[in-house]
Amino acid sequence: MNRSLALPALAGLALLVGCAHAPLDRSRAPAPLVTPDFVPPSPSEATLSSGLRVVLVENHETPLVHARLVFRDGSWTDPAGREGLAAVTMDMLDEGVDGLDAEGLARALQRLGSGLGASAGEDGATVAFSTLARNLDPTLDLVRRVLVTPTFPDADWARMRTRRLAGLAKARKDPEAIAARVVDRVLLGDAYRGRLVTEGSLAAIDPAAMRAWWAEHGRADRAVLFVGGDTTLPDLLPRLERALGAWTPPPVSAGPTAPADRPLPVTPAIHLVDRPGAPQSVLRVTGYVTAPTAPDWDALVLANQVVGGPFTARLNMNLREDKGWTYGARGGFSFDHAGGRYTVSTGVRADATVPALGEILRELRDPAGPRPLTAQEFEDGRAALLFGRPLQFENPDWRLGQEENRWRYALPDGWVVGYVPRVRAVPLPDAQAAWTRVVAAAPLAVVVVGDATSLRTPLAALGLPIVERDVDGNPLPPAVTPAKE
Amino acid sequence: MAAAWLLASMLAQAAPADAPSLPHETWTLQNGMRVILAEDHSVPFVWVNIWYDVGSKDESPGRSGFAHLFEHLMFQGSEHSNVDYFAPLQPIGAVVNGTTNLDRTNYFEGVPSAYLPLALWLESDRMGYLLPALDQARLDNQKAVVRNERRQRYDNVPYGNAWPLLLENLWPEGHPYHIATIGRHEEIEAATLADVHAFFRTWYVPSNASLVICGDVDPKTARTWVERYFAPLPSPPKPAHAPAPAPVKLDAERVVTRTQDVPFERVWLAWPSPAAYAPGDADLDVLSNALAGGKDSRLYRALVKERQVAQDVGASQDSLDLQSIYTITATVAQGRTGEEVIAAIDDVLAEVRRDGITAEEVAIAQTTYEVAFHGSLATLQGKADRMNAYARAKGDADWVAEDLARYAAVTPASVASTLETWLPARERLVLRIQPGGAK
Repeated sequence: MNRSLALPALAGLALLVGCAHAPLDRSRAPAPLVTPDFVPPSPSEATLSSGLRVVLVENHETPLVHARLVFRDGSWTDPAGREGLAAVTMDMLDEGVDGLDAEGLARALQRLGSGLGASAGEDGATVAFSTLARNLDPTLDLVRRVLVTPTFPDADWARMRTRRLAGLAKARKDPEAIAARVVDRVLLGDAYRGRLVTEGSLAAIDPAAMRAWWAEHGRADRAVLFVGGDTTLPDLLPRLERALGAWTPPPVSAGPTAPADRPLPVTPAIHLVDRPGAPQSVLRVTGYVTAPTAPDWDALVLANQVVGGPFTARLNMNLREDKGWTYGARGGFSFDHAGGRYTVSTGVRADATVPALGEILRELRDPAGPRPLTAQEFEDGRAALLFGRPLQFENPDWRLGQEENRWRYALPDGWVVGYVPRVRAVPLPDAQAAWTRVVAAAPLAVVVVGDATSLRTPLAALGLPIVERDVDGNPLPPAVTPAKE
Repeated sequence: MAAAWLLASMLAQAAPADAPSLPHETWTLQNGMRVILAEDHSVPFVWVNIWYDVGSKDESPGRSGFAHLFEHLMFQGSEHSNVDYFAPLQPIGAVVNGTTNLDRTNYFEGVPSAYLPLALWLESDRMGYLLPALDQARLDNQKAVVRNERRQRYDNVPYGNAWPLLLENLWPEGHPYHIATIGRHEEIEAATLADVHAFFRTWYVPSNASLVICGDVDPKTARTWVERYFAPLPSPPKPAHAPAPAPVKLDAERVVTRTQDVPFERVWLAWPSPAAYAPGDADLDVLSNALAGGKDSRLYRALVKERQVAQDVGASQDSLDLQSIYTITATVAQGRTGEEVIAAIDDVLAEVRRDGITAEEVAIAQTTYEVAFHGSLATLQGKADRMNAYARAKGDADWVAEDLARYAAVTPASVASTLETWLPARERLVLRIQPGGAK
């Protein structure tokens, strides 16, 4: 935080009053007080004798320690035909260890006030645990047992498989889950995030496959331990050495660090999924348009501060505060191994679906044409990012998450510490040009999860091809055009 | 048993060393508004958090959803800042929101600490000068937005109508908790500007408000700015809530079955239960942990692991002003039935009624709550909200030690007695949402 930042942010507040002793004039916003200096906490690092890298951000406000042991490998490593393997392996990791069944492990953790959970996403896997600082040692011992001696019991897998199958059925009835899955399939086809976990792929998984996956991928040399909370490196390291020093990677060599899959080229089209009678349509407008390492990444993020990021951005002010079609509409950038996505997300009243999509597409294009980013909008958007920055450091989680991203996606060294000067340096014309080139001109996919019967005909007015898909994202044969009444 | 007792006493002794507290200063303005000030210099941000002692339980008949709709209107601008509430706050990186529940409404903004005066200016302006800025167009727009919120969070979500159904069937017609806070579409639509004026004048008065300032502040400076903006606001005395209705107890089992577009049946067993902070409230939290707090809990073991009649199971005490709601819920496993799930829950409850829960289960729940307390105080917003909650319920923003003591005092005997009194085997609501067309 820097005092010189106070000026652009106040551009929105026309008149200022000086101090609390002047006569009260409610028509004027008060001037800010002095902004204190703020030095964000920095992570400290060490490497255990096993080769495991440890990153710590201290925070002594509560007597808690939170940790995430993160792995390079996630569902992207699933073998063809066994989609879901990484996810179920991680899910089963705490279903029993040598000498303790799942209930025994759960009880041992609860007695300590500790929590532990293991999971896998597309891009990586995580064993997360938390504890009262006073109970760190016994908790680490249980973590060690989870890492080194998971038992993957047959009976627990039979039960978990049934629950996973039920999970598939539930996801097919949930419009938000449907939209997420269809977007991935449209953008990536049958590769990487687009691959489907199915009844068949779950049937092909057994505890032997899980043991093999864990042996191959649950390795200290493909993991980092991120720790936040009430401890210090000198206090923590000997405890970690005692508990995890012997958890060493197997001698077999590790595979590639990321999937090579790339997004499909996007053909602008509306992908329509039927949810008969839905009172609201869930909408996504999306595409892989850039990469976090692209030179104009910060310029794009800044431009989006005007178009789709904050509550007061154009999209939300238009669709919610002006039209009343939605509870909220946002656009934002995200990234994964396949690149950087831009996604607009909203849910709109069913009968507003077509005009809402028209407005979204117009808002994405307009900055490149009739409504360029204004200086006021742009500086307000920039100030929001810079002024809000210190809050990210309230707890260690965000800072550690940034460090994890840097490691996982090979982001540059200055990704976190260089952020403020980078964002401060982007001129408006650069943001305007980046948006025009990258988002306004990009072919984007539209996903609509709603009542197809009433939407099919009016959606055609948008002039985009319509591809109907089932709830898993598989294309359906073209529907017979209903006769005009 | 001896080991469990030992463990319990170990935990009980270990807790005080780390016991959290919420040091603050507090005073009341002449107009009746309570102010609570707590310094926390962890980051250069400060939270301004205002609770108004009004919730959806205070709505007029035919105006369900109004308290929440009104909360939305508080973001539409006020006389001296007649723009969207977010507009001056977004450019300083503020976090801004508000929430409404059955009992109370809160508003908060986290701002860089230098902008405390700005946040107080805005909050005081909408507390004192909301109405001149409110017109029919803004009201109509937010009615539409709130109805979209209802669609997004209730109507278009699998099992999303369960909560409104539970309330409508647990509490009799006319009871303040009979209709869920989100309200009914037609009643949201019916709200008028006259309703808005009356609600504001009754409930949004300084004497019905409590302001917490928590974060990177100099108390003297903060006090000056609070006095400057809030002290001149005139206030009638604190409005009274309608007299509390007689406590509700069901006299028979009530079964409500609905169909929705869901893949599996889900069942809810619900009972009217002791009010927030009343005797029995903490017992039921402890019971919930023993019943459904993880893989080692009684219901999880019986329903999910052993009998495999359910995919998941949960238990919770939703603590409320007048009377709370205790709920056990489970999703039926593929190929099994709601009857089997209900029978399995009943078997577990019968066992608990007969033998009680163990001292170890109580000790584990106490530790779980201790950790949850620490976790909830890890953010400025978490601290601010908790101080306002305690101040409202107990008149003391730092009621942490007393609250933890409620949990420390729970014993297997007290849980048994609460169970006996409040969760009878038959006099309860059973809600079943089954797969089928929406109905």
